[in-house]
Parts: sequence; structure tokens; C-alpha cells
Amino acid sequence: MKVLFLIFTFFISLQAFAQDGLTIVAVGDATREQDKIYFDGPYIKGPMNNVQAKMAEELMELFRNDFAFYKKSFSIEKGMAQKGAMSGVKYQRLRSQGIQFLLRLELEARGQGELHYWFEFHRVSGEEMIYSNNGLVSSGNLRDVGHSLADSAYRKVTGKESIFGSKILFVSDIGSTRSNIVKELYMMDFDGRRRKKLTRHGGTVISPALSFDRKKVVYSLIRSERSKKRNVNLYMMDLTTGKTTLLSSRRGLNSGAVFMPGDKEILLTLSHTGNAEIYIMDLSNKSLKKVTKHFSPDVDPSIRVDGTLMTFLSGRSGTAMIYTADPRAVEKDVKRISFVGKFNATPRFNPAGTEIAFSSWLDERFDIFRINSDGSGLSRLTKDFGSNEDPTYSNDGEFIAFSSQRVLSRTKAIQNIYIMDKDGEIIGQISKDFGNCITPRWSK
Amino acid sequence: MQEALRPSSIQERSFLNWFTRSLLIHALFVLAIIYSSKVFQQVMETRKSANIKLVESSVRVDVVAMPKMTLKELKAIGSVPLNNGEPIAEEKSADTPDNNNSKTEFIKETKKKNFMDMLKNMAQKDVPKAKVGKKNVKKVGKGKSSTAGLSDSELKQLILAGNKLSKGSSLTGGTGGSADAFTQYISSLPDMIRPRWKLPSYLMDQNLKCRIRIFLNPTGRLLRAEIFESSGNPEYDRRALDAVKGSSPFPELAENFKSRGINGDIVLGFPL
Repeated sequence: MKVLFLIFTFFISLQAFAQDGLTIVAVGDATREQDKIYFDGPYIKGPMNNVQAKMAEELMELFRNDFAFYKKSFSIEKGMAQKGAMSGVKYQRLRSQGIQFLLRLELEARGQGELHYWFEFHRVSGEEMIYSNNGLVSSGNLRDVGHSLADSAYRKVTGKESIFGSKILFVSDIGSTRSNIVKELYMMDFDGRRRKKLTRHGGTVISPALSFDRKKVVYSLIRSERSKKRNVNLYMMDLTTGKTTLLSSRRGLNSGAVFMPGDKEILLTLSHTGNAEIYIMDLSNKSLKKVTKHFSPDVDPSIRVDGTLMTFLSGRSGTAMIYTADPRAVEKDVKRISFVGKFNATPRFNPAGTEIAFSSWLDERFDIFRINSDGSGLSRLTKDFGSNEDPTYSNDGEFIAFSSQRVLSRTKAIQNIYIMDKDGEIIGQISKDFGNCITPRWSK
Repeated sequence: MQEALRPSSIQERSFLNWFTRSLLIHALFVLAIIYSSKVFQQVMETRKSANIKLVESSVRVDVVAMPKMTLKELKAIGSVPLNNGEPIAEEKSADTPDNNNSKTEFIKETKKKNFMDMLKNMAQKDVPKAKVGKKNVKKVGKGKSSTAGLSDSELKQLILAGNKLSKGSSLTGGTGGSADAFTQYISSLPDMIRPRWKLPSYLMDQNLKCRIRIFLNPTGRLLRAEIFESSGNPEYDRRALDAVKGSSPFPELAENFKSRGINGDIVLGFPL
């Protein structure tokens, strides 16, 4: 017994000696800072024609522009184009300039229109190269390769995916005349580049949505001809083949469709029964399953990426309010989220399903607001920035794209697409001189 | 003689008998009253909470309006130092020993870790006390977040309060006369380190935490800084270390606690 007691005392004293007098003092929360990235180059190895020189310049500009979107995290330090091959990295010198990361690029001409690239991304503090790649790039794949390289570097730093490979669907009325308004569907990169026209119906395309695999698009169409049969019909386009199929032409609304996870079903609003309700349509046989069943109209569904929760707009409280529900059964777990707002519209989930961005009528215009999916944390994101509608979260949940209307004169206004971060810091305008651009939908 | 005693004995037995019965009846009566009062209380509480719920939901619908100010505007208001114009006397009042706040509890708990105190406790016959001491030492030794018997939430509250009261004392323990001066010394360190304690946004949202043990020479120069408890994210740990290294030299250590600086008695929590 005595021996046991002595052993016990011995260990206790050891522990006590180890911890004796240790005092913990809390430094507190860190302040947010930007990491400075130095964009070094491009290093031009050997002779290069004008086309290749422009490609080299564009590639470097693309890297800088991509990282500039994350302006809360990164600041950009522009380097100079240099002749010759890359040499060893002078980490000490970079550190003394407050640079945390170094991106550098070496290019060498291959034939008449191709470049061979060596891409490096260094962490200055650790004096290490954390990502490198090399390969061939041509004018046809330059932006894809560039975004992919930037995304890989971003992932190495943050451990998360970036927006650099994402796309935005939108509707534009470019080419319309005063007597013939035509709104067609377009797709562009997240930075507003490489706009591509998808539809040529000559009518009005509304509420488009992109599938999770980015291979299909659903949208509603109001044809331009004036007839009794004019209806809001739902179409699907296969982006790989360009083939368009009619999904639903029931009487009334066939709109507000979004893809369910897996891309085999869509959530949509139909009003053929006389009241707008939300349904799930199986794309293989076009069969319908009811999701909402209420005498008030239920419209505009948005789905969380795991498919277990949807948010939608309903008039069941008397005015348009935001609700959530489990779409896997009829009227399952319906919960009212918003309790205020004269008129709320277009509720959109962030990918994680924790936040809902929506537009609401306030001060004689629409502005973008954000609310947690449990109904808490209602906050305003835009103010004194035109009339702002149609928010859509980026694939990483860090940004929101929206359309903003600016009044130019008593009879003229222009709508364009802008991007802000999820806290309302405006990043920039991504559509310009392309008619009125509305209803952006960010790929997930 | 026996006969003389018998009647009184019978009387006594009878008295005892009736007394016991009466006692039992009274006890049962008291228990019944206690039970019924508790049942009544429960019923009342249920009704009360039902009423509260009703009031809460009605407030939510009628009072809340769409926010006029944006997040950016609200943050701009929040970034204005809140202690501007606050009387310093109020800050000091939080440090008075009579003040029954969590700070004094923390010091008391840490005191139990002291080896001398522990030996004193061990020497006493009060075995449960010694067991409590052992438990506390074990917790700290394993590097758990519930430092010195405080839960994470308690610690967070305490530190939040500490952040508001910039001149308040701190999360320290130790015994002897040097404790106050030492406490004052280490509570000045966060103000020196905080300007260099910066994180990019991708690390801000991850709710990480690390602790760094520092060794100081008597002049306050940093001799060594080591990770005492890692966050699990090397970049986060490195930035915390850089903040400490960049803040050196610290103020000179007083004669009576300079040994504690050399021994590495100070652990800095990022953020807690």
C-alpha cells in the first residue's frame, strides 16, 4: 500500500513540476489580412511571334485577374516580363518586401501558335515550391489551362476549390429592336469572358439553370408570336450536342426549374391545376411528383447540393415570403424563414445550404439580402447601388452574382451583372456593352 | 414496587405509541404538502413557458423589419473602439478581489495546480481535495481546452470580458507576492502581439486554435518560442509563431519573476 502511495505521489509531483507556474494568456482574435502574391514574369525563353507574345501576356493577366477576385485574401504585386529562363528564387529578398507567395511562368514558342509553359507557385515563408506544372497551351485552350493552373495554386494555399473554373448562365436582350424584344440565353466564364450564345428562339428566355455536371441547361421560353396558345414552356438543352427538347408545355407556368443533385430530376413550378405548385420531374420519363400542396402559390425553388432541403417563395402568409421544405415528400417539414419584407423574391441557397440570398423590395427598389437557413441573421448586402435582383451564389459560396439596374434617363435604364462577396463587398461588373443582362445563374 | 411502577410504564408505552403514530402522520402530512407544492410549481412553470413561447413568436412577427443598414455599414460601426470615453475606474473595478467574477475563480483553480499547494493538500487528511488537485493537473497536462477546470465556453466568456477590459488582469495563476506583478506583466503581452497577429480570410473562418510557449530573458528578449498546442494547420501555427517572434523584445521582466520568463512559464493562446 505504502509503495503504491509513493508511486502515486511521485507521478503527481512529476506532473506538477511539468505544469508548475504555466500561465496561459489569450492573445485574442486575429485581424484579417491579405497575402501578397508576386506575379513574376512571364519569362520568355527564345524567340516568339506576335500571336505568341500576346498569348503570354494574356496568360499572365489571367492569373492576376483570377486571384484579384479574392481580394480579401490576396493582394497582387505585378512583375515584369523578362527574357530568358527562370533562375533560382530569392526568397530572402521577397520576404523583405512582405511577399508571401510567388507565382512565376516561363514560356517557350512551339511552332506558330503554341507555347510550352512552366508554371511555379512558391510559398516564400517556407522557401518551398508548393505547386508546379508544365505543358502545351494554344489560343484555343489558353483560358481553360490558365484557370486550371490558377485553381491548382489556390487549392494548395487554401485547401478549397476556387471559382476559377466556374461558369455563369445569363439572359441578354442584345440584338433586340424597339418593336421586337428578344431575350436569349448565354453562358460566360465567371470573369465575364468567353460569352457564348446558347439559344436562338427569337422569344423571351426566363429562369435558366445549369446542371451540376454543366452538360445540360433548362430554361423557360415565352414565344414572341401573339396567339391564344402563347404559354411559358420549359425546355432542356444538351450543351454537348446542342439539341433542345421540350420538357413541359402544360397550361400556365412551366418555369423556375433547377436540377436536383445527380441531374436526373428537376424541381420546377407548374400551374396547370390553377395554382402554382412545386413538383419534381423525372427527366427520363417526365413523370411528376408533387412537393408542395397549398392553396397559395408556391414558386421559385432552389435546392441545397445534397438535395435534402429546398427553399422557395410562397404566398401562404399573405405576402411573398421565403420558406424551406424537404423536397422528398409532399409538404414535408415546411418552415417559414422570412417574416418581413414588402415583397421578397428569388431565394437562392448557398452550396452548403446554410444561407439564403434573396432580393426584397425596400426604399422603392429591390436590394439583395441574406438570411441563415434557420431564419436567423437577416442582413442587407446592397444599398444605393441601383435596383438589385436575382442573386446566385458561386460554387464555393464566397461570392454572389446579381443583376443591377441603373437608370440612365427618364426612359432608359440598363441592367448588368455584378459580383460581390458574400458580405456585400462589390468585386466588379462582369457584363458590359452587351444589352440588358439579367438572371445570372452560377454553376455549382 | 413493580406494581407501583406498572401504571406509569403502561402510560409511557401508550404515550410512545401515540407519539410515534402522530409523528408518522405529521411526517406524511408534511411530505404530502411538499409533493403537492412541487406538482403545483411544475404546472405553473409549464403554463409560464407556454405563455413565454407565445409572446416570443408574436414579437418576432410584429417588431422585426427589413434591415436598413448593410453588413458593411454595421461592420464599420463595430470597428470603432468601444472603450472610447469609458472611465478607467470601471475597468479597474473588475479586478478587485471582492468582485465575484470568473477571473477570481480562474486564479483559484490555477492555484491548485501549484506543486507546493498540492503537497500541502496531500499532507492533509482531506483526501478528496487531493483528488481534485490531481484531476486538474491531469487536465492541463494533457493540453485539453478546459484549462484549469474551466470549460471552453466559460474560458471564452472570460477572455471576451478580458478583451473588453484592456487594463484588467488576466488568466494567470501562481502563488506568492510576485503573482500580481507577473499577472500585470503577462496581460500586457497580447496588446504587443495583436498588431502582428493577422490571418488571411481562408484561415479566419476555420475556428482554429493554437498555443505557443515562450521563453524570455530578463530584458524581455525572446529566447525561444515553441508550439505548445498545435492547431493542426501548419500555416496557422506558423503565423502565430511569426506574430510572437515579430513582437520581441517584450518589456523587461521584474526581478521577482524573471526566472519565470527563462523557465518558459508563459503560454500564449491564439486566440484562447
